[in-house]
Amino acid sequence: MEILAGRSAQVSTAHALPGTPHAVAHDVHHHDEPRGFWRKYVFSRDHKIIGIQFLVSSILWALVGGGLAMLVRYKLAWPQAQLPLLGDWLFPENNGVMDAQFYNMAFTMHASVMIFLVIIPALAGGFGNYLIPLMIGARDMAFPTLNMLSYWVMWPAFGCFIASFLVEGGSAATGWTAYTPLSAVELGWGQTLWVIGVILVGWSSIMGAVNYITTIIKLRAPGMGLFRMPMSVWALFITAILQLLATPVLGSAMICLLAERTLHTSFFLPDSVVIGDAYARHAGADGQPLLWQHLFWFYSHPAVYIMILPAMGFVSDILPTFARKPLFGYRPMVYSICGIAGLGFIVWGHHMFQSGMNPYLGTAFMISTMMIALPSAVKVFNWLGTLWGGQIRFSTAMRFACAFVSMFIIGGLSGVFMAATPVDIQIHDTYFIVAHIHYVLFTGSIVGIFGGLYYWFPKMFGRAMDERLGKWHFWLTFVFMNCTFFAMHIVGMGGMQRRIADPMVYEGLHRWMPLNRFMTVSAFLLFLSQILFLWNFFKSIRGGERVGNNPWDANGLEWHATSPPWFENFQVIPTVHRGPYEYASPEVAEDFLPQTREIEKAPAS
Amino acid sequence: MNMHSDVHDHDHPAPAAPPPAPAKPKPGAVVIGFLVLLVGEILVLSNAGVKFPDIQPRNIGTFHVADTLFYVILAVTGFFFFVTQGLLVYFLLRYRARPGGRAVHTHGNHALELAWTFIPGLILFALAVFQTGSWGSMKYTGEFPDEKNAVVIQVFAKQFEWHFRYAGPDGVFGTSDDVTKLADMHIPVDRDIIIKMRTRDVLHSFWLPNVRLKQDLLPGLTIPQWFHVTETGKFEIVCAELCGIGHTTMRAFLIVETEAEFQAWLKQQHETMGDHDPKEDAMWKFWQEGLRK
Repeated sequence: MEILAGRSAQVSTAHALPGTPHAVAHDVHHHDEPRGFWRKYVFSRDHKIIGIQFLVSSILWALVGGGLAMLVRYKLAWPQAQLPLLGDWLFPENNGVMDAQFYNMAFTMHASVMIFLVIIPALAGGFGNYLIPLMIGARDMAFPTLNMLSYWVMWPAFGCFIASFLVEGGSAATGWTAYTPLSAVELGWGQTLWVIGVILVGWSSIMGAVNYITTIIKLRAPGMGLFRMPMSVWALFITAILQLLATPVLGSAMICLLAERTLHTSFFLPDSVVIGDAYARHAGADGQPLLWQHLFWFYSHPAVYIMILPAMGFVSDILPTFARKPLFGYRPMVYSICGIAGLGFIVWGHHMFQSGMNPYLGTAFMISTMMIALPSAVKVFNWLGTLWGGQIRFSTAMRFACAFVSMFIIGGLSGVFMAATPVDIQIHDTYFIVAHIHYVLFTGSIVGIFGGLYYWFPKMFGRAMDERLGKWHFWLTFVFMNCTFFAMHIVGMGGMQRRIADPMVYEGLHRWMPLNRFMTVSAFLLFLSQILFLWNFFKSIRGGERVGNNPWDANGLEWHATSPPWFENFQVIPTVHRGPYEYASPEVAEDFLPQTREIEKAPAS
Repeated sequence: MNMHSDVHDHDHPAPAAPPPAPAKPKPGAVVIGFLVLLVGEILVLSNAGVKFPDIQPRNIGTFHVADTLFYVILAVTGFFFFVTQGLLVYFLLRYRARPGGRAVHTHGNHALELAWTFIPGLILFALAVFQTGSWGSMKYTGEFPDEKNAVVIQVFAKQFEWHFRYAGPDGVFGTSDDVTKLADMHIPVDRDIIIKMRTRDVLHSFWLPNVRLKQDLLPGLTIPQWFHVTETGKFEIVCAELCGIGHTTMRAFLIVETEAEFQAWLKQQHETMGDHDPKEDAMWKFWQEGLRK
């Protein structure tokens, strides 16, 4: 009921616009704004609060995920050394040296936390919630209560992830991909809690996606045609469609895995599997281990794009703002996002070239995978085109956006190696893959998230983050992330397989130990550099410089609202007159032309 | 949406108000960042005695096409890497804001879009076509060498061991003269080898880094592969798929010998094991369990 009320208020104000909307808007404001602390900041239905809730919990989980990465890196650099500080407490029976089971858990949970609790919630949940209504000129999401639910479903998931660390045997240790049969037969509650947690995260994703799609289709301000939407909104829109189509497949697969673990079904296990000395399933069971991989990657390949498309959208908004120049090739940029999303559904098999899948299928997936590099290339060239001929102002947000372009090129090009099936035979399951995924997800998605945070922070809190600290944060992050992740390509080519606890076991890997230690030290420094960000972020919420509604002289509707925007975003729903990238327009003297500004028809010159 | 407004490109009216003063630019900072990275890693690598062409494990097999393709792709992607990164750095330095400056007002260029869609598209498609044959020659069972002239070995994986089984003097599996071996895979040099692989429990992946051969094993299926080695010596066999707590130590050795040495080894193994009922052979039992279906 409340949902409907919210929406009809939205529609009525939008219709009342040309006349005297102020009274109506004022009215809505007084009826709906919650007063108490709990309704206003905790169980809030306001998309802005929910967005910030998602962002803050992502930042906190990133510390957990990052900490786990430090444990992984320590083990790879000094495999037989005592773990400082924590060793005696965690591994008393092993002289303080990390054991293989703990190592497996550490890298599994590092990836799971970073993907399911940091990147996806930050991009779709955090920025998606915060930006979509502001950028399309809506008062809120189409379904505010559903929106609140999509955040609060994350908390049982957080609970599952936390509990999984505390149960006997520790958390999941079968990789974030949880390949069956291993994930089905490993004992202990850790893996089961992991499965339940991921199902809950997926549930949250689906609720969010329904909301974003409906909001973007139904609640755009007058004049906001689809092809006047900022790229961030386009990217979040396509991302939401991907989430809506792919996440149910992951959810179904996870429910099958849950049944496999608790009810001893045989979706994924054939009857011949012997664990210890006993058959894991009854005679006649005819599960297919590969079915898991197909279902998992049918979600998780699109999920890679769920994790990068929104960041591409932010970069496409940040670059024109600071180059003071329209986005180069707006429509090709939109079409390439659609192309990536469409092709993203027919390339999942490239994770499975060596899986025992029919090799003829490998050839088909190789060709579709080669082709998906194309829309990504189009995006890179258009970003470069945007910078060409600009008047580039450097800010921390702009630095991160440019770093995204630079790093995405590396992550994209290294993908071509793995798409090539004969080359993939050698580099599959090695550190080359680890390098690739980190170039896409850390130096891509996370760098995009940093850019977005520095860019929209003044909108969220009415104050800017410190630019000097931001600059230090950027340069330290840029240097150390490359030192950490680029070297992974080299050890991967050199034959170091992923997910091993001790490279010293293999004589062929001894020569990579100096580089492993180099990566580990760089990773520690990268982790420490983020203290600058945390300090800057949390300090600036209250202590940052007040910078007004439109500190970057940008065009989008979100900069038309106050900073921070009041409860229902806009006093009057704005009317949109043009696209969001009219910088250096010849129609006006200023070098920017907001979407809301009405210009009387100039006499023909 | 305003592709048509290209016409404004060159004839926008002179800006009346100068834009606000730009932030202080730091020319060359990006270059410095990359240099730090490059120098750092080269120093570490050279300290460890590693030079560029030796980065990959030495290829002792006949799948050289995998390496060739690797270097072809490295050349192509390397070219685009330097072009795009170069343009990025150049644009960032060349187009920093200047007092009173105004950006070019353009929404894109149709010809350029076509060019940078079709040229990379053709290159990618050419790479795709170029490699289909070599993938087939390595993986399609129809293109495997004739079993009659090849050495056939059954490979059996369990947590966390590799077992190998040979047909013995009579050349037939499942007879009393079969030879089984744990953790060492002896093969003759310059012969086609066909392996038939099976796992008893979870996924494992049979990887010969020096041969450019990797293949996952799936419970319930027998998966064949072939390879051919041209050098004698001892090389590592690696499990490349996470298989549980002992994954790191699931290693075996590939021991490549001359034909005579190999036959002598086989004979000696057979004598050590003696004639035996294959049904009592632990390895044979595992193999049959894999066939319970």
